[in-house]
Amino acid sequence: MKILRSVIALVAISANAAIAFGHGFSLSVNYNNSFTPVSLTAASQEGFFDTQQVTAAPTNMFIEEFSSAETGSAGTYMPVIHGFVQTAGPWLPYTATYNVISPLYFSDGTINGPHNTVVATEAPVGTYIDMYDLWAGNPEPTLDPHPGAAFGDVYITGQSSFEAGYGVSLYDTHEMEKDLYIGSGDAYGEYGFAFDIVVHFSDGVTLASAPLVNVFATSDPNYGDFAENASYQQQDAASEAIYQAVMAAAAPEPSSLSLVAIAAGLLGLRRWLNGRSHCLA
Amino acid sequence: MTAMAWIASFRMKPSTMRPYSSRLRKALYMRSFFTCFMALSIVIVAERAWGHGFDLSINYDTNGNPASFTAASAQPVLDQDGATPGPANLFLDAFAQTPNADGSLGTYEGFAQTAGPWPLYTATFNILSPLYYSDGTGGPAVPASAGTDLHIYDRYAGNPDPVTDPHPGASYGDVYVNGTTPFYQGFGVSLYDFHELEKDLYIAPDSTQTYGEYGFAFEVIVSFVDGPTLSTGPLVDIFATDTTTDPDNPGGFATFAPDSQQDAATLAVYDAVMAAAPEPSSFLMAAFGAIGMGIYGYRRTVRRSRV
Repeated sequence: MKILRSVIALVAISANAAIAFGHGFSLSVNYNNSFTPVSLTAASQEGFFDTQQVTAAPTNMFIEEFSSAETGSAGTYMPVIHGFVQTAGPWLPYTATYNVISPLYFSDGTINGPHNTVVATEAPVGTYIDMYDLWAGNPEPTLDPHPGAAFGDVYITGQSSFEAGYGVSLYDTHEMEKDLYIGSGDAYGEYGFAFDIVVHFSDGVTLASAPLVNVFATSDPNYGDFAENASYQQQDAASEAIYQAVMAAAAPEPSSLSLVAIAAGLLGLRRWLNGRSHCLA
Repeated sequence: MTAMAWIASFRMKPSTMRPYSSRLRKALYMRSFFTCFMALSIVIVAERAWGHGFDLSINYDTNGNPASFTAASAQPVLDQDGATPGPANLFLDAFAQTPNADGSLGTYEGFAQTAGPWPLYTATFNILSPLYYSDGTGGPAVPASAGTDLHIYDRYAGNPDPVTDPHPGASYGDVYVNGTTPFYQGFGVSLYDFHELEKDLYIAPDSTQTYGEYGFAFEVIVSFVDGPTLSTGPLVDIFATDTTTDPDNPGGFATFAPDSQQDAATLAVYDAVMAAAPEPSSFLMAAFGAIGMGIYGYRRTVRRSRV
């Protein structure tokens, strides 16, 4: 049923979406001289502050718009499948997962803060994004493989600053469906959040990406179509406010902290072993 | 191949890059500037329907060696509304609604990006068919008019941003796909980005082929550092004209033509380019394979006769 729902959603989005550009992040691996993975580089395919693509934004930000038509047998929501991550270039065999590392923020780009500033606000109670893998269970392993894509739902709200994700394939920037449900609050503006990707390579190395930011503008004509009708300056203000808010909230990623702790432990162990071997010699 | 051997195969070759002469460096800078300018203008003016390209993943044999590719198209459909499914090796999209400054119709959708685990590699591509055109009003697709061509080049040639947006292997070069040349050799590509190759359509001034779809077949050839060399087989790119500022010239086919007419045009172009795609590299690889098998058989026979 979930696969059927996903396929229907995908077809519906393909059929009625007026998405300007799309896709997500290309994720490449940086290796050291021993060809051990040491870090990840994520390049956004839409690094702009507005959907009219006038103003360049940070490289870890991806902006797009929700579908222009609401969909909904299970409630009214605005879907988008852009904004996730695909591998680029040489990669060792791996498994991967992701985490959402900020609350869901909203801004319509109008001044609402001190000293005439635009400040993003946390999405109100009842408004959330349901994020799930369109290719969970790898239903097309031969024609369109997505090994590692797992079942699960992550609900991104304005109240939770961390949500653990689940297994992903990284075979497709369109892997994750994101459905925005507006319980209360505005449908004319932009919503955004930060997430990271954690990759376990077959040689034992585990790496996390830096925070990646997704921002999506609403584009339903019934709610004014922010992506189409707001000036790019207003969109810039909204996107920048959300970017600042989610990056501030995304600072202490638990997975990164655990990686640092593991690395420190291994260094300590190595130093101890070195000292011991010197003593024995 | 064991995991250790596989990992060992990732050793980097020493760089063969030589310092550029100042004149060449200046030319490269100018070329990079022009490419960036073109890309930026396209990004600013384009309103693309959906986009993307082919996800290229590797199928491994039982020894862990790359054996073949799976190319999954993001838009294997026959019309812009995605109403009718098409062949798996077809990617359909539209040219930008606003022409480039020089009047050409641009798109950078439709190329290939790696997906999943990949050993170290170098890659190139070839054009396997002439450029075909159809407006979907009946009959087979026809070659593009004389004087019409599709100019293809790498937007990231020379890997201008290796730290924040790497494209190693992306090379300088120009390919002009026209209605008469059945095969055109490409150049080095990175496969880091579906948007790697710019494709600009220049329609001949006296051509009437303005309201419809253009398409061609290409293949991606990948040489893995630890062997083998593999081809994707024919991948088909088809793009509809979509200039809506003047519906009659060149058209707005993607926006105004009904799905059934788009379906007919896409199928006609697809059939024409697939019929014209003889895959020289595949033939070449098959020939190499046959020769290799022959040598193996000969050596085996000789060894047995010695025993």
